[in-house]
Amino acid sequence: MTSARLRRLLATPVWVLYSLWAMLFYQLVFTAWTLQYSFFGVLGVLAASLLFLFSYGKRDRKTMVRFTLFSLAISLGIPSFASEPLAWVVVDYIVFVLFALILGVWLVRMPVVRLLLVIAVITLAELWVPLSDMSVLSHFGVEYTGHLGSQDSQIPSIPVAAAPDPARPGLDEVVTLQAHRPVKGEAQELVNLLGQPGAPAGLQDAIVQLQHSYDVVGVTPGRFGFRVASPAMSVLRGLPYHAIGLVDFPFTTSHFLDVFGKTRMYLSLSANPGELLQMALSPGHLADGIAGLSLQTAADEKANWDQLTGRGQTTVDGLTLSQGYLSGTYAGVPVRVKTSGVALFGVYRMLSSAQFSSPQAVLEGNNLIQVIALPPARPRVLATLKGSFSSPLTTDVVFADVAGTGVDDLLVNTVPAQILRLTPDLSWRTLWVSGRRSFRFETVFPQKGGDLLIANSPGFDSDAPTRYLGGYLFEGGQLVPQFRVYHNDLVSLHTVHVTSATTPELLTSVYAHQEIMLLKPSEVPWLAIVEGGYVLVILIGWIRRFRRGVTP
Amino acid sequence: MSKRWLGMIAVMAVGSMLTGCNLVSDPAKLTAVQTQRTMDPLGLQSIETSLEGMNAIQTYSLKAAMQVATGRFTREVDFYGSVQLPATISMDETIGGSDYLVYQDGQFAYYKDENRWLPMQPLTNLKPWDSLLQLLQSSPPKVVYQLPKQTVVSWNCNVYQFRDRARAGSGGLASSLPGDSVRTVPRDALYTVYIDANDGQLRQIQVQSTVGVPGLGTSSFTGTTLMFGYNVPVKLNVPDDLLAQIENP
Repeated sequence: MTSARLRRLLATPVWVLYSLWAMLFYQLVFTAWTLQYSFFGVLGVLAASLLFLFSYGKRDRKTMVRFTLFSLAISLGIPSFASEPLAWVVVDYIVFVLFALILGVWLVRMPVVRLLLVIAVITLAELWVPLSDMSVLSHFGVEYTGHLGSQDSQIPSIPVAAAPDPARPGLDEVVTLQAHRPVKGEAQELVNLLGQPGAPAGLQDAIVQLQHSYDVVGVTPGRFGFRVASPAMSVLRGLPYHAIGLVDFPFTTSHFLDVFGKTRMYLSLSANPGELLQMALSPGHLADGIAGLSLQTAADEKANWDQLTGRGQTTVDGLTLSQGYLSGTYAGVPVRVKTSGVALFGVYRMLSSAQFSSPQAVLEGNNLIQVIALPPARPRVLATLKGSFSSPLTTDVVFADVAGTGVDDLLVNTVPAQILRLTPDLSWRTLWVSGRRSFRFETVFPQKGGDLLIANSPGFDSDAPTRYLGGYLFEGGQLVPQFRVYHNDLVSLHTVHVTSATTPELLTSVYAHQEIMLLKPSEVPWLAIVEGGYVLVILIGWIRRFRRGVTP
Repeated sequence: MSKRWLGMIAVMAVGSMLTGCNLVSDPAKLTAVQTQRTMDPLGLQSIETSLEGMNAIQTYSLKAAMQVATGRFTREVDFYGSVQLPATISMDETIGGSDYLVYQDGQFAYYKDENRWLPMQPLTNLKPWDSLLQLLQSSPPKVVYQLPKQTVVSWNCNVYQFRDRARAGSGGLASSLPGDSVRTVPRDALYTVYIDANDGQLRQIQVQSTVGVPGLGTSSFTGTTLMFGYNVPVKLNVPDDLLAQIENP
């Protein structure tokens, strides 16, 4: 085969690969620079673009620039109609492809088949990972994406939780919501059920809310992709009421019921708009009003969840919290300690094993966190951390072994966020305070030598509060970035083990997109590949220039 | 050749900067949020004088927000509209991502959910200053602080702050709650009152509080009520679609 023929054969695959590279480079590098470094990022983009431009001679430059712009236009154009109903997507896509081909033939002057292949490959890439989520590829691979399947504005971000999967010991099942699609005759079946003995409570409201109800679903890896099915009741029983029921709390109340063996959820306003307005017009009673609404909504939601699942008091390592006492049995020794706590975070090692042989129970009360010693030490309150009105302590707290010593510190999402350590003399020491008000810790990936702290952090050189995902190590009193993912809508992040018992995965909900994602640290270094691709593109340009002897 | 290497080095350097710089600790940010404030022995009297002076108000407009932070999320309800005393209201309301309307004229009271108006219990206490005065008179704060003057919209305001320590079961808190829930009261609330330094009128009230919710932990609350357009004539007519719904059900 002659080299000319080989070149002709390879030309189309190379151009297709180039179009994919251009799309990824724009998403992973140029967008990242701009979001991280603001104005300086734009300067960086300009500099890299100019270097690219002048790496090619005049004739090549024209083709490269036009084809690059064509590829980017295709990648950015496809998502514009992706959210439409399927029939419209098909119609719009056909029209889009026709116009793109006309534009391509006129502008880029390349064979129609090659342009068609470029469009097809970019489309497939965006079906694999939607353009809006492509930025996660800089560190993660997308294992699973799920959608609510509803434009209901009452759920801005889909609740997600993980529970141990009874069929796969050591692995988790994702529990989330999907919009319920009523089928013909379903309302009649529910009405028939209504008249029968043992009909679930709340069924009448569920019929009224049929269009606005949600199926509670479990997501597990199957033989071919992921399997979405109704989770076993034992899985749901393992979750607290607020795991997936806390939607717009305390202004809406979640209701759960078992319909034909499947778990259904719907929402109702906790107080009607008139009652809420009366609260706003009565500031003298507002604190009591909202406290009452919060307590009532939580009590109702817990009752709804417990009635469905048969779940009782939350028990952690044999300990329960009730009526102002932490009680139960720990290490075979009875425990009963009076506490201000109302919620049990769990049992964590907050102090070294040299000081206390067993770990401690950590609880949250009204704007405070308490640490309680457990047997064999005498059970008692060891330390209390109090919040303020301006920096309230909510349960927005992450436990992390930041130093790799086996002792956990508190990553507290006050404003600003802080890392706090309980010292051996039982006082609190602040290890780190965020310089940015919008910085928040999300979860941790446990690892030797110090946990990897997953956080949402604003850009480096921008006053905007917009946050992007990042992984940090706490070293020398600073947070040292290990990766950044320039996706600004990732909320409700959990460390889970859905597909791997050893590699931690990130389960997240995408705010305002009604989407959930399961992310796994990528085995393919996409970021290094696209950066290397840039170097290669520049090198090829210079080599062609030198070989042809073309002056700039 | 040197240019090529220079380009490559530049690319690699910029590429490595993708993760950004180290985040250093900034303890000053902790103290920055603690506002400078001084005790004002005449503060309570100043607030009460202002509130009593509000009795001349016949109409006003209101912009309010109620923000609740629980766990990882902050939820908000917003209000914007007008009130004509003694009993007429026209208010837009946003709860979560949904919009509602409230209209009341005396005993004729409705709210609009999606496309349908539904009757509601008429609201009776439409004077925010009355409820605040009632609070101050029933449980006067031990200390009232004065904060540095602040501009609210365009009004130069004296800012007062006091703490309300509510007793268990006071203020209409639901008494039917389970034992664990009732145990979490009493609780604190911090009130910040903004009074116009020029005409002594009440401009804004901010309420901050927390409550320990069983099983859930701390839920923190911030409510801000801004009042404006005092005695500016407004026409609060029955919405056309409400009339149409009543006339053609």
